[in-house]
Amino acid sequence: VVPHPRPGSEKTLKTLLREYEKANGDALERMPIVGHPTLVIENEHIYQMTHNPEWGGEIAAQTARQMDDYLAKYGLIASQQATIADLRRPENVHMRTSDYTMEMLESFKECSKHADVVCIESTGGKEVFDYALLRQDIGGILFGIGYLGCLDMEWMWNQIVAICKENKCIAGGDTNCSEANTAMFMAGGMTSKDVPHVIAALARSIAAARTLVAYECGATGPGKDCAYENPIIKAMTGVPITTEGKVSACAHSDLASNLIAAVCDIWSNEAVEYHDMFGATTTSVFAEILGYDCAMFNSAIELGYQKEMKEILINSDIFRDSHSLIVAPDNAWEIGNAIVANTAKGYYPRARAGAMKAGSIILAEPRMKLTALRKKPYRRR
Amino acid sequence: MKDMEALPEDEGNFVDMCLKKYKKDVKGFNPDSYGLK
Repeated sequence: VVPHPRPGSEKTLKTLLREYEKANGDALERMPIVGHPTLVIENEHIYQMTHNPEWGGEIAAQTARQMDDYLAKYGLIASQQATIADLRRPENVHMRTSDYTMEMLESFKECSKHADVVCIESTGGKEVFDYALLRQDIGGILFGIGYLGCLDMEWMWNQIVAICKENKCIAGGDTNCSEANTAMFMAGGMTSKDVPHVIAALARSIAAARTLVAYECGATGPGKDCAYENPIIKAMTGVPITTEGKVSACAHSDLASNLIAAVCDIWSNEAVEYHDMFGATTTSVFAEILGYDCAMFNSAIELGYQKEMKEILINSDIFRDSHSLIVAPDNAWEIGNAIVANTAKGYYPRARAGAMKAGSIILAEPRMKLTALRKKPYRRR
Repeated sequence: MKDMEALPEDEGNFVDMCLKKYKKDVKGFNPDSYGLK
């Protein structure tokens, strides 16, 4: 579960510590009540937690202490992921030498002393990507995500992995949230026509070639939840992945909510702001929902119905959107193969090969549900 | 697909082409941020 603090609670370290204590504590408390045996809590940094590295460190230490208490009291097996915020805006700062960069690296050092896993949503190449996306310039998208993003990740992840080794922490993974998810969200639902869904799907396949860099540098997973490219990552590397779908509707909408669960190792909700609901607070409610999904997935395996469960999840969404189509496991495998087969040629050739494979898969599929809606003419607003 | 097929095969040629284009077109793009000239 991924709790987010309420606006205003970030004003001081004291108020933010209290907010996380309650939000994480409520989620932990709900697990023994409903009999869920395990929980992963992701503390996804808000700006202040990375900008003040000691804040992120203290919140990570507090969360670790809470988890120790629940292990001692109820035998609950819990783990903590800290996701450091990428404070850099590529168009405004030098990506390697800015003060923000130093704060991020310091945050990795502080949080990896207490968290079990650290991750990041890195933003390299976003300045070029944003320009290219608005112009449907696939060359620019390849350059932004598939080349610049890879160079930035290689530079960043070699340092993250070294820090994690020093502090005996797991170097989890990265996500192309800042680019491929931007494209996916701008493409939107079936009635949206601001960005073509196929461009967003191609951006996703390029993102897989980019996010792979973390694992090439020594990250071991679990991959970051909002990396919708993770099924392709899993096909290429075999690392455990976190995914998010229907339970992340509290944070955003997507068209692959069941399908994306088909190959998950950890099931997530992206982000839920801490508030009251009828059933309790949001963090306890969403942790319970996630836990029941996991119980269903695990029961499918125990009963020998894992293939049937996988097919139900995939077939509920596969023709809903080109994005869903390309991250379906068989297609993810094909795209992953294209990327891996071209890795020796460089970052750009492998990203292009992945995108070409994704494009050929989309072109060859006549059953897309989106097609009829997209045939309607665009109207001037 | 045609747009992708038309792009250079070679990474060096592609990067040269992109640096020339996006250094001019994208406000704030600094190749040095990525170890590029």
